[in-house]
Amino acid sequence: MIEGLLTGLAAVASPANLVLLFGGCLLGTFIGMMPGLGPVTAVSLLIPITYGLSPAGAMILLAAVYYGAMFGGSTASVLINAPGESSSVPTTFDGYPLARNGQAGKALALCAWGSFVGGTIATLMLMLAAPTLSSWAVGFQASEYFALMVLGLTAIAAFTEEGGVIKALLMAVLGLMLATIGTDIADGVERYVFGIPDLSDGLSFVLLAMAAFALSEALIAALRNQRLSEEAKAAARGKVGSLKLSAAEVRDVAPTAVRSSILGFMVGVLPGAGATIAAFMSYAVERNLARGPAKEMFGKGSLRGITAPETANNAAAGGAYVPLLTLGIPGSGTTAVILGALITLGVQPGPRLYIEHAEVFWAVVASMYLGNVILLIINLPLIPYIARTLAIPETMLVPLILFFCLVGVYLVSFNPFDLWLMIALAGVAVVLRLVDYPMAPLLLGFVLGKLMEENLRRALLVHDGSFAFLWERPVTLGLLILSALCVSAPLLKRLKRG
Amino acid sequence: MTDHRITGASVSRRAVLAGGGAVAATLALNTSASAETIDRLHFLVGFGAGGGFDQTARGTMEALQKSGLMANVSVENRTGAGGSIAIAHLIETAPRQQNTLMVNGTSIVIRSLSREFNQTFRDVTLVNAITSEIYGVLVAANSPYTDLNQMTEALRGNARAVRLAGGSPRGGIDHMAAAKYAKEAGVQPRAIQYIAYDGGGRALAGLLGGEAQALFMPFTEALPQVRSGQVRLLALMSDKRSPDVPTVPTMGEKGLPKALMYNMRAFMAAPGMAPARVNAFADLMERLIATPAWEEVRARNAWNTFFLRGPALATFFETHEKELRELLTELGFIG
Repeated sequence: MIEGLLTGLAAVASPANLVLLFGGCLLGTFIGMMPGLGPVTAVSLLIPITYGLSPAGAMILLAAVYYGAMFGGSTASVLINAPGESSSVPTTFDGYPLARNGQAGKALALCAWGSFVGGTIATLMLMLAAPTLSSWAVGFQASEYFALMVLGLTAIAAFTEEGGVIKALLMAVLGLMLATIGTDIADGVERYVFGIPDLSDGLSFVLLAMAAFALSEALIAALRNQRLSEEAKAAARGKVGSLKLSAAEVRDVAPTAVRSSILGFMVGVLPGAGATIAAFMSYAVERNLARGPAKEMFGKGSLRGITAPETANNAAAGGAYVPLLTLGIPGSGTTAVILGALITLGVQPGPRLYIEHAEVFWAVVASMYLGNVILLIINLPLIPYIARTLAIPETMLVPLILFFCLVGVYLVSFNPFDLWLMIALAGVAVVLRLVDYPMAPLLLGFVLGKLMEENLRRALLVHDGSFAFLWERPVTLGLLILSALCVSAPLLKRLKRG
Repeated sequence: MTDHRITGASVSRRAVLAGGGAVAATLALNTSASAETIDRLHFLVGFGAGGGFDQTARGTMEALQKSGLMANVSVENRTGAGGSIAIAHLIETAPRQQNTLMVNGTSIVIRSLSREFNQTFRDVTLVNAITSEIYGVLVAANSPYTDLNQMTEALRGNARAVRLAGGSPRGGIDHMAAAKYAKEAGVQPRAIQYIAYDGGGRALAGLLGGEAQALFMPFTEALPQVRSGQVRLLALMSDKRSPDVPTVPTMGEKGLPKALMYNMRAFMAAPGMAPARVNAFADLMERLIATPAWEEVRARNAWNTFFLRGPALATFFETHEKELRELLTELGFIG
């Protein structure tokens, strides 16, 4: 195994490949920073370039761009509350408050370190356990997916402020309802489409997240018109703050990073889940595990709260390579594009990839690893410059945010309807936010709702309409018990106290 | 990264401009005399990157570039509403789409039949058919069925004896394939159990995990798994064997000669394009499929070249629509 990795590193470390790695990371970071544009866009943009490269070179370039775009997505989340892509939505929960408090530098540095740790642990796990994990992934069936989504929903508790339980629940239900818009695949029937073809694919998650966060935030800022404090606030925001983490802070976030890496990787391995769900789940897990004052900080600028999703989404991106390389099954749009590129290069993914194309496998592992290192080298020095965005006075920053959100969403689909839809949703979000309804549970319900429903119905089909799978399948039962514990633990504690 | 459909439909709502001169390519080239000179080509794909239509566009782009027939080729994914956003866009902006070819095919026929889909293939200009993906019946390596006849017998005994699956929604083309097989085998198509997955990749995962027992999808999508021995290809829904999987029997050999299903992919141009220009595009494609560059791309993806143009193409579309209408009616998807 060590020889394999060394061979891979030797193959990757040629000067030409290092240029590809460097260029790919940089380009990916910039594409990812654009609100709405993420890894899929970045990867497919580069496909024609890979034709002229060796299989190893092509994989290196694609892996570099993939990771770069994942990181780039986080910067927009932190700085302007506009998630660059869906897996960095949970990054806004604590990243943006940190940036508002003049700690943008620290938040971005944590994104870079989190991505690095997540990517490194994922690479290690891919190296050690890919074949074992792939059989686990296919054993994970509709009933398990359903139970996993239920467990994810218990995270609503994590997004609940004191006294806001009903509001959080209502918003989560609204999210579940919004997820039913579009064509239902089990019956092939359109729901809540109202004859508008633009709605038949359902709402886009990125669009919803941008309306709920960035756009409504910008509109609220414009509505409030706080001229007096403008200069003082700009000064506070303009402070990038130190990039350095104290030893205590490192000790605080290190366990989070390790836990989130493992969780993120495992969720990433499942072809039906992906980086977005991984990011949400790890955020929820950390919030549930936190005690006392640390828990209070979640949603207000917790370092753990930003580390968890940032680590998990990169680890999940690594996990997605498991079914791709060992089974030839792409778990997401990005990996589908990478699979296409592999086949174009004459590499046949499958259980024998290790043996037949050992050099490609190890080159992929090595390039993922080097990609992580280079990402860190490029991005840490860039942070102060990127963070300077915040020094722009609000009178200019707000229109800029509006502009970038609209352009980003338009570039995703080239469909003007999406622009009107996003503006309308942002209008609703402004009203809801002004009366203190939290947006995070809405997005959580939305992101889990579609998969939860689809898998429940598929499980029922497979088991001839019987609900017995809920207690007959051990993993399903285990996940459901865990969900029940997550919900009841705070209640029990309160009872004991009272 | 959002996870949506993987094969045959939108991967996610992403749009991509690739290749040279992507934006410039959509500008009209309407200088009167040189109207038939094609010096750039822009593929419009109504589905996301990574899916089947996208691969057709990108594969053709690669072959065009490598063969030297056309250097300036670009691909645009304008996703949404099962491809209808792209169709509407092509129709609305027809005058400035003189270098654009949209990739569609069987999908547009099914969707205009089964849904409130405003456009049909008659609203655009048909240029040529390029490939036709043949459907296959797949089971996992550990399945008790080693021969299609065993499965057919099981289904004749009890229509719900085998969980059939596909990567498209109910009423989509994979479901059509399963229904066609059932119908020809003398099993009531409405009685079968069809499990819908979000894309071919997830469907394969379901098959490997044992949740689905037989999968209906274009066999080329499962070729990596077939070649690595993880799944078994029981039969092709085609009238002749494929050189890419020469040992796999056809439906005809299994006594069901009419159980055929394929996903045809064709290039379509904006409505009202001058016939001379349409011919120039078809000529280009006809030259392309004779090149080694095309053969290289075709063989790698195990595509089945299926070239048709002119009146023969129009007739083919009409027949295709008639057959699919009958099947959809039988399944109760259209009244």
